[in-house]
Parts: sequence; C-alpha cells; structure tokens
Amino acid sequence: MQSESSIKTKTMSQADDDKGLKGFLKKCKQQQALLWMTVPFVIWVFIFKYLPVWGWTMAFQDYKPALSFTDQEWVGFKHFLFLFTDDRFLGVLRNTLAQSLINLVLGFITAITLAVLINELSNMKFKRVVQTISYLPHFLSWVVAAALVSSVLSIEGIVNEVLMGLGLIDKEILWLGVGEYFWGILGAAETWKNVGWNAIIYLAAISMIDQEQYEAAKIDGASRIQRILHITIPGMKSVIIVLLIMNIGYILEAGFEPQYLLGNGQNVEYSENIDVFVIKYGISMFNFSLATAAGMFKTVISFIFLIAANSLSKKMGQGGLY
Amino acid sequence: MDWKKNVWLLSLLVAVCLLIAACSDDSEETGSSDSDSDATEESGNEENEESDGEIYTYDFFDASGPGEDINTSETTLGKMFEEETGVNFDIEHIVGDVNQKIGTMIASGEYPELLNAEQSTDAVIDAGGFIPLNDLLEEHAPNIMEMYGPYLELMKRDDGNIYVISSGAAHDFAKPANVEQGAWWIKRDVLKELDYPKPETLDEYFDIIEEYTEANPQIDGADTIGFTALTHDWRFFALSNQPMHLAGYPNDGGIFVDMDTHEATVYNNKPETERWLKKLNEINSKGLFDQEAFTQNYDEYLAKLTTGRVVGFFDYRWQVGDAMNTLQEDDDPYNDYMAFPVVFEEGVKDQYLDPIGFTASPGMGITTGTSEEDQIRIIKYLDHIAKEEVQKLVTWGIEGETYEVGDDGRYYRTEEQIEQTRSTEFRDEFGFSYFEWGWPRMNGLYEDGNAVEPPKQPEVASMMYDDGDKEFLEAYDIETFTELFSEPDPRPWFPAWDTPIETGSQAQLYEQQLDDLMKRKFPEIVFADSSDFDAQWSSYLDEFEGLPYEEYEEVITDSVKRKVELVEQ
Repeated sequence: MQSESSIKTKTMSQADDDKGLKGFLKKCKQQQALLWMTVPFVIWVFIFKYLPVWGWTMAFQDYKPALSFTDQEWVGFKHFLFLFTDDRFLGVLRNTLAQSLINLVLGFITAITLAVLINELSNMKFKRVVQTISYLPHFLSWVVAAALVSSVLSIEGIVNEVLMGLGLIDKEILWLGVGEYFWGILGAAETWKNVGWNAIIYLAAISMIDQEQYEAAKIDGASRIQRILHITIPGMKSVIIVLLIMNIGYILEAGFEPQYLLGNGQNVEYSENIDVFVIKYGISMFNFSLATAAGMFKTVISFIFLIAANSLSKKMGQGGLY
Repeated sequence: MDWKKNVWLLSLLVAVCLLIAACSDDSEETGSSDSDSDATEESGNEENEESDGEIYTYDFFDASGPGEDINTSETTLGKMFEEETGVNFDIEHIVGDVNQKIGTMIASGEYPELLNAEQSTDAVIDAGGFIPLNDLLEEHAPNIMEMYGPYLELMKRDDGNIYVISSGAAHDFAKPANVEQGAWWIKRDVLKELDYPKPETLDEYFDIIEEYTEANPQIDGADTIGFTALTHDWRFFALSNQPMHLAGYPNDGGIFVDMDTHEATVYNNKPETERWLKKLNEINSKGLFDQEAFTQNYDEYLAKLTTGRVVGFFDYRWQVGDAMNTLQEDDDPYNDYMAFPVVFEEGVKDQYLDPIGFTASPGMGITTGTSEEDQIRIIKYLDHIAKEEVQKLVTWGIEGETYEVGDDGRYYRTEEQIEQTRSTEFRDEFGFSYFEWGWPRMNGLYEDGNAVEPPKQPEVASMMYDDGDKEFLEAYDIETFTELFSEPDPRPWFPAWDTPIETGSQAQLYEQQLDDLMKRKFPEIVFADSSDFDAQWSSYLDEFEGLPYEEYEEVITDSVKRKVELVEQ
C-alpha cells in the first residue's frame, strides 16, 4: 500500500520540477520501495554481467587454468590474429551472419503472421489447441529436435517419401549432405521449433489494442484484411521495433546446438558458425584464450549493430530502446 | 493489502538467499570425504587394521564411456572391497563430450577425488589437476609396484612423475579367441551364400560385396547397403585409419612407424590413403557405398548394422560392440558378422591384432585438493585391487560361483556360468561391469598360466561358441575366429597414440585441423565422379600441405624413440 501511494505522489511531484541533489534524494526517498526491489537485480547484473568482463584479460594471455593471474603469459593480440588470419574464419563469419539473418527474418514474419492468425480465430477451443501445438516444440531440447529433423530428412525419411510420391523429385535427396540446403533447413527447423513461442509476445501486444478501434472500423465498413493491416499491425509496431533492435544486437548469436548437431563433413562449409568454430578450436583444445577472444569480437560487433539499429530507428521517428 | 507487501518481501528474501547460495563457496560438497551414513551399521564387522570402522565415500568420475552411475558398494565386488579397505566410490560416467566436461573441471579447478579423464588426460596434467603418485606408490602400494614394475618408466612423464595408472599391464601374451580390434566385417549370410569365400585383399573383399549386392538388391524388403562407415564426430578415424591397416600396420593412430628407424610419418598424404579413397570412390560409383555414411551419427550407424541390411563394414569391435552383441543374442546365426584381416595386396602381413604394449595414458589419477589421508586411503584401495587374488576376482569372479578349477589347476566355466557371466544384469550386479577394466589391471596370463581374461582361456573360448559359430569355424577350418589373423610383431612403442600432446602446441593444432580437413574433403573425394577423382585428391593434398604435420611427426617420433630406449634398457 505504501508503494501505491508513493507512485501517486511521484506523479504529483513531477510537476514540482525539483532539481539538484536535494530533489534527487527526495525522489529516492519517495520511491524507496521501488528502489529496494531493484537491488537484487542490480546485484545479479553486476555479478553475472560485469564481473565476467574481467575474464576478457584471458584473450590477451596464453591462459593456463592452474596458474594464478600474475603467472599468466601475456601474448598481446596473438589469438585475435589466429582468428582473423585463419582461412576459414571469413566463411564462418558469413555462415553466422547468413544463418542469423534468415532466422531473424523468418522468425519475425512467421511469428507475427501466426499471432495475427490466432487472434482472428473466434473458436476459443480451436484457438487454444493451435496455440499449444505451435509452441510445444519450443520445450524440446535441440538434441531431441535435431534427431527428429535428421530422421525426417534422411534418405528414407518422410520428406523424400512425400516428394517422391508427388513426383517432384525422381531420386531421393540426402538433404543434410548438400551444403547449399543447410541454411534453409536450419531456418525451417528454427521456425518450426520457435514460431509458437515467439508469437506469444505479439499476441500479448495485440490484446493491448483497444477493441473500440475494431468496432469503429467495422462500422466504417473496413474488411477483415483492412482491419488487420490498419489496426492490428500498427498496434504491434512498438513491440516489433523493440524486439527487432534487441535481436539485431544478437546478430552474431546464430545459435549453437542445431548447427553443431545437424552439421557434418558434407555441409560444414555452410553449417559451421562462430560458436561451433570456438568449440572446436577453443574449448575442445583447452584454448580458453581463443574462445575469449572470439567472445570479445562478438560483443564488439553486437554493440555496433545495436547502436546502429537504435539510432536508425530513432531517426525514422519510431523511438528507440534508450 | 498487508499480505501483498509480505509477498513482496518474501520473494525478495528468496531472491537474495538464492543469490547468496549461488555465490558462496560450496566447500561442503567438495570436502575431502563425507563419512557415509551407514558407517555405524558397518562398523560391526570391521576388523581391518586400515579402517577405523568408518566408511569413506569418494567421487570417481569416469570419462572412458557412458554407464550407469552407482556407488561401488552396491555391487558384490565393491562390497567386498569396502569391507577390506573401508572405502567406496560414487562412480559418475561421462555424458556427452569428454573435452567439454573435463574442460569445465579444469576451468573451475574442482575435481572429483579420483578421475579418469580419457583423451583429456594431458590437459588435466598440464593444468596441474593430478598429483604425482610416485611417493604414494612407493610407500603404500607394493602390489601396484609389482604389477606395473616393467612399465614404471613408461608411466613417467617428462618431469619424472607418474600421474595416472592405466589398465592393462601386460604379462605375457594371450591371443584372443575373438576379434577385439579393427577388422573387415562381412555378414555371415553373404559368406554362406557365396560358399564361404575368404577375402585377403581389398579387391577381393569388395568383389564379394559386389557379387552379393548384385544378386540381392534387397534384404528383408529394404535396399541392400554394400558398405557403410562410421564417421561421426571424434570417431572419424574409423574411416581414415584403413590405409594404415591395409598396409600392414597395427593401430598406431595417425602415423606409420618404421620398424627399423622408428621414424613416425603421417600417411594422410601418402599413396596408401589415395589408394583407399580411390577404392571408396570406385565402389561409390558402383552404388555400393552408403550415401548416408558421412551424415549418419553413431546411433544411426549402430542401428543400421543391427537391421542386417549392411553387407560389410570396417570398424573396431569395441566400437560396434552394442550392435554386434545384439545380433549375437538373437536367434539368427546368419545375421552376424565375421571378421577378416584384409590388406592391400598379397604378401603384406596383416597386423590387426594389438601387439603386447603398454598404454600409459589414459588412466586413473588422484586429483589436487584431495587431502593426504584421503590420498593414502585411495591408493590403498587401488593397491588392494592390484593383488593377484583380487585380480582373479575382478576377471574370473568367485570360485564355485562364476568359475571352476580343474584338477590340473586350469580355470574353466560351465555352460551355465558362461551364460550367467554374459548377462548384463548379472555383470552390473556382481560388479564386473565396473571393475573389470579401468582400475589397476594386468593382462595376458597369471603366474599359474591361466589367462587373465576368461574369454582368452581356450577352455572357456571353445565353450562360448554356439552352433552357428561352429558352422563357420568348420567351413573355414579354424579353431578360433582370430586364427585367420597374423600374430603381432613386437613393437615396443605400441601404441604410439598414447603420446602426450601438449595443449596449445602445433601438434595439437594439426590433429584438430586434419580432422576438419578430412571431414570436409573426404566426402567430396569419395562422392566425386571417377574422372574428377585426381583433381579432388590434389586439391585435398594442397590444403594438407598447409598443416603443421612435421611438428606432429616430430612429437610422435620422439616419444616412440624414448619408449624403445626405455624398453631396451
């Protein structure tokens, strides 16, 4: 009850426009319940997001786990050099960006479409069933999901059987054995697994739209399609933009498990992304320094993308994250 | 309204508690030993001078393979050892990738007291994770010292310390009755239909496959697979080791070791490898090669073998054990596979059976952070296992229960005992599954002349063959299935693959890069049009030349020469 009243006073005090340290302290006192609530999360952020940054020093050392910090050997940019001069790193970077972009675009389009479609359903029972079925695969671990995908795509799998039955192909295709198909397969698998889950947030956004708008549009004679295009989609716009900016920040996080589990020698030129590369040449070879260097590289790129996307969005008059 | 505030406070409290719990040092867990709760229950029948009635439980992490996690005292053998030494172990087996799991241990610096780090052993040693065992062995382990006596120098690292104790200190050679190592397998049904041919060269082997596949395009309604291969993850060597075996070398890893100069050379760029790939390319164009060979994972591969659709394959028996055992247990004696020692051409002496050798690594070691008293208790436990009578317990079992002794002192098993000791359920319950390998163990023959491992005892081996086996033994006029294989030549350095490879070295980089290169290029070479083969091979060679293979050869050569010197001394 205290917090409730303090929120009320806060809105009033904004009008007072008190500035300076005194005003700041006063505000803090007024909102102390809220501030206390943030404490655990600030601690959490500090421990899990700021303390590990200290580990970045590893990227400039030949890090050996048993030695203390002062005994480590400093090697400058050696690990970055190894990363950027490796012939395959460009290919790995290309795969990361391509897989990520495909996921981003497919993820957005399918999730928004599904959310709109589910929203248009009027039969509640059917709606719930559709929603549950569509988000269930999200809870499968990738190990299981990848086994499903690879058995579906195997020579005697259902995909080949259906395509042969329809006469679309005249010889079975080893889907995971053709590198060029990998990005598509990955995009489809990610979509199948996550579309329902991703749609939930959009459904929430849609439910915030004022129902009176729909009624008004109906009276004005707007068709169903027109209502979707002019009310539902614009109503979701702010959520879409926030998610887009955040996801662009994760552009180098193309995922690890599906690529690792579905990847093989025949499609490695399209499946190997930064994370898989780091596992092979970093963690598996106990070269923690290289893994750290790659992580730093990813962080820097992510920052650039995040800031760029944010300022672009602001310029276009859509408001940004901050 | 009041309860709302309380809920908030409560959740805040919970959050803070969780945070503190997550950050606090979990020293309780890693503490040296937790005395078991049933200590009092045990103390009654304790008469041993080593234990003061208290039972000590330690953690043992076993990265050598998956298995059921168990406390050793839940098995018959483990219970006996616990009564003798007052120690038992919680065994945890590896799930997933060894390097990742051990890498995490190294990064955190927290180890179980006893650890078998499998292929990551070198990394744990480099990180200072294992304690030197020299003094402990000297003072507390007379039995281990005796059993491993001839090999103590080989067990020492460059710094003169012994960090791990491996299984299998060879005392004399006992030829196995069944193939345990690499071989070229063919389905028995095929052999029977083609009137028991005996392939000796690579060409003859694939001729058999071709002849059968042409006559039988389908097996049980599914397409016949002429030849399949295991290529998944770290098991890729099951497709890349063949040039070595075909040229008449045992499994030394990625190199040929010259018998006279003891120089190690890689063979992945040699004509032998080209010849092998060319053969694969040829059988692929004939439609005999499994199109899924490079995409299937380990489980899919094993599953495929058990369907009976596969005519032939090359692999090590211990890699296909699950599949072969399943086939053996069913009623169809023809849906089994028989092994042949195939070589490139006549005149090459096959070397598929492992020579007498000592594999110094991997093995089990005691980790840092284990207190001195605990170290002594653990080493005494290991020493107890190294006693000859206990060795007989873990290999043969209990006299009168799992084996019998003849008047001449020879050990044998009755038919029921063979049946009993074969069942997985009994092996788990008795403890064979857990103690038979991995702990201090000798190999070969006991001093009284009995084989260490029952299946290598002729009396047992001959009883283990069923009617199906006997039909094929008779058809090929042999007593045991290994009779087709040549005796191994002495190779004192064997196996070369246990050479420690330093983390962060060029040699280590070579291993990883070669693996990547082969995984990428071999499918292209094998699936290429036969006219395109030469171009593909030379493009692979170009890339291979860029790898630091000379550094790798140097490391292995040094190790081989060192071992030879030690043995000659």
